[in-house]
Amino acid sequence: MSTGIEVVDVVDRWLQETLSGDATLSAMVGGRITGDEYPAEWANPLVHFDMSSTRDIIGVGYQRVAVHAVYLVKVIGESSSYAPLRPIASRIDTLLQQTQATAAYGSVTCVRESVVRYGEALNGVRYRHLGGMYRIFATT
Amino acid sequence: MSIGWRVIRNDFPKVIAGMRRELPLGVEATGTEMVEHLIPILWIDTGVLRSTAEVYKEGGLRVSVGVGLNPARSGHGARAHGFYAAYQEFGTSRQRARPIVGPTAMLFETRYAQRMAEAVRKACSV
Repeated sequence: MSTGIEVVDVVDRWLQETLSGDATLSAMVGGRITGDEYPAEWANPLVHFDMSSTRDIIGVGYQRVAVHAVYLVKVIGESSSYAPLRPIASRIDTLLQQTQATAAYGSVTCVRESVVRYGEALNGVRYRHLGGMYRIFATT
Repeated sequence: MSIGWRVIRNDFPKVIAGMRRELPLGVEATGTEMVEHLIPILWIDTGVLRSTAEVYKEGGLRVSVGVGLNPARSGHGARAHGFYAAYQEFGTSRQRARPIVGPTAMLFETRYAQRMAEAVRKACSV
């Protein structure tokens, strides 16, 4: 049993709610937004987020009072250019950049610290990944 | 009623001088330590990523730590074909991310802060 904040209870939940709860973004990717493994049969573009790194902030009595986390949030699409993904990545950034939110399960502050942008070819099919690394400070 | 204060000890000049000396040394040493930390834990297939992990001193208070950078940047010629480091760190369309460099950078944020705190303590000690 753990005590104090857990990223999975606060940050993952907030990202899922924020991204999936936006009708515009959801419509852009057909609702395909997840922080988990996505089914191989999912079409693209899709939005994926995942924790890259995290650090606990320890308070009195060694209680975890907050976390600093960096999350990768990106759109993945089958394309030979970034252009089709640009509006989706932009929408993600609008929802997350410089956001301060408070919910029943915790408070979150989010800022992008770098862009993530790269291409990939798999079995002759070209994919593009576009998004950012978001630094998230969360407390309960 | 008025409240005032009298300075009986002022360590600020010593701290400023100490930090001026320590900041560039700390940045460079932290970059070097990051590479030393990364090399044994990087994803290994052919060894290219480990052989291309290095610190680039960019002058002033800036260093970059690169893994599998392009040949022109790294100076390793054909050896530096580690473009797939991004696939490991950030994932592919079929594989989840397996980040190593990001967590290392976050770990060294605190180590750098500790190094600077130690420099301030040293500057203040009589």
